[in-house]
Amino acid sequence: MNKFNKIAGLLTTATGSLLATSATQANEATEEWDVDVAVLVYSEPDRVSALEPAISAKKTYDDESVLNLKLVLDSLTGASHNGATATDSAQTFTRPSGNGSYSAQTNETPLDDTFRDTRVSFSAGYEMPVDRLNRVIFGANVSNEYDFFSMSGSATWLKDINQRNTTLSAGVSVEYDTIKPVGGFADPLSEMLGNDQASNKEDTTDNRVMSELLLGITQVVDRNTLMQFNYGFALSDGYHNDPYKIISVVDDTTGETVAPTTSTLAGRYLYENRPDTRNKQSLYGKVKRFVSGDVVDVSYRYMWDDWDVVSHTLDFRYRFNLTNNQYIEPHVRYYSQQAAEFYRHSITESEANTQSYGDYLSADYRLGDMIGTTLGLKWGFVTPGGHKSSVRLEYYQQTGDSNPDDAIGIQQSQNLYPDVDAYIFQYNYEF
Amino acid sequence: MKNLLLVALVVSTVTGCSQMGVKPWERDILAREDMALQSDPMDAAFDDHIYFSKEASSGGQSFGGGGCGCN
Repeated sequence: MNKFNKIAGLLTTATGSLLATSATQANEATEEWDVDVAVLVYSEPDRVSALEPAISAKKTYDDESVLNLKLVLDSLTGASHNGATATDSAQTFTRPSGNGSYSAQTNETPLDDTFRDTRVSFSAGYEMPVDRLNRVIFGANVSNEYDFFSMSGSATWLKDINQRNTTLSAGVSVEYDTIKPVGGFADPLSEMLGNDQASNKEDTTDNRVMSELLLGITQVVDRNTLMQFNYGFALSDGYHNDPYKIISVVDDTTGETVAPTTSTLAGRYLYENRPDTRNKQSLYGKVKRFVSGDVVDVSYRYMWDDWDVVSHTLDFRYRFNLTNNQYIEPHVRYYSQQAAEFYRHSITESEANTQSYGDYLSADYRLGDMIGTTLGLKWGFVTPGGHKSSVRLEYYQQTGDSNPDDAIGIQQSQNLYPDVDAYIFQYNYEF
Repeated sequence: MKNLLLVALVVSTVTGCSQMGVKPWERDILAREDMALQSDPMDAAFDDHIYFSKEASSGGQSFGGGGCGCN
C-alpha cells in the first residue's frame, strides 16, 4: 500500500468516527425522511392468525435531533384456548358476547373460535441533543382495539462519558390502559352461565396504569465490541384479568368436569381472577461483536415478578455479510418461564366449594410453566433500485407440561398443555 | 440476594467500563449500521408484540408495555 492509500484510509476512518458521535449513534444527518414499510404474517395453525402492515418514518435534522413516527395495523382472527381442560366428553361454552355458544369435542382442547380484532397503533419518538454529551428521547404511543385502548408516554436521558465510550441512560414511562371486554366483565371466580340465561356480566370499562423505570449502561469494549446492560422495574396497578379466560372444575377422584351449580351449561367453569397489582423487574445484557466482516448479536434477559413468574430469555443472531449488499442472519431464541403462583390447569370440586384455592386463579396457558423456542432465518438484500429489503421466516413453539403430576383420573390421559406452533413471515422495504 | 447481585453487577460494570473503550478515530466499525445496538427496530417491535402476547414477560431492552394480549 502506498503512502497516499494509507492517508486515504486514515481519513475514511476518521470521517466515520466523527459521524458516529457516540457509542450508539450511527446515522449522519440527512434532513430527509427514511421510510421503512413492513408486513408481518403470524399464523398458528388451527388457532390465531394475524396480518400486520407497518410503516415507520425517520428524519434526522441538522442539529442531530431525530424524529420517528410509526403506524401499525394489526388484524387478528382465529381461535384461542379459553383455559378449560380437555375431557372425555364434548363441552359447550358461551361466547364472550353471550350470543350463542361454541363447542369442544371429546378429548379436544377448548378453543374460543370467535376471536377477532383490529388494532391500530401510532407511536412517535423525538430524540434531541441537550449539549455535546447529553441527549433526551421523548416517546408517545396510542393504541386502540375493539376491547382495549392504551396510551403511554416516556422520557429517557442519555449521557455520554468516558470519551463517549460509555453511555448512561435513565428512562421513565407511564402507560394508561382502558379495558372494555366484549359482553362485559364477569364477576371474578363466578360461573360461566349458559347463553339462555340472563347475563351476569357488567357492561362497563376498567383501567390499568403501568409505570416503568429503565436504567442502562452501554459500553464500547473495543473497536469490534459493544455491550449493554439494563435494569428495568415496572409497577402495574389495575385490572389484570383476561376477561375471556375460564378454568375447569373437576371431580376430586375421576377428574371429569363436574356439573355447575347455577349455570345451564353441562360443565362448571369459573372466570379467572388475577391480582390487581404486578411488580416486575428485569436484568438485560447484550453483546454485539464484529467478527471477520460478520456481526454476532447475543442477549440475555432475566425477569421476575411478584406473581412468582421467573423467566430466562436467550437470544442469538449471527449476521453473515455475504457481500456489501446482501446478508443472511440465522436466529435462535430460547425462553423458559416458571408459572405464576396462581396458575392451575384446573381445580377440584371440593376446592371450588370451599374456595381453598386462594384469592387468585388462572388457567391461562401463558402463565404456566413453559418453554418457548424460536428458529429463524433472515435474508437481507438491496433491490435493483438500490433500496434495502429483507425477508424473515421464523418458527416459534411453546411447550409445557402436558401430563402434570397433579392430573386426576381421566386427566392423566388428556393433554393438559398442548403445544402451540406459530409461523412468522415478514417483509421489509426501506426507501 | 437479587438486590445484592444487582448492586455488584452495576459497581463492577461501572468500574470496568473506565478501563475499556476506543479512541475517536477507531470507531469506524462501531459506526456501521449493522453494529447499532438495535439494528432492526421494525423486527424488534414486531417480536416484542408477539412475545408480549404469548408469554408472561416483556421489556428488558426497552419499555415493556403496549397492548392487551387478551387472546
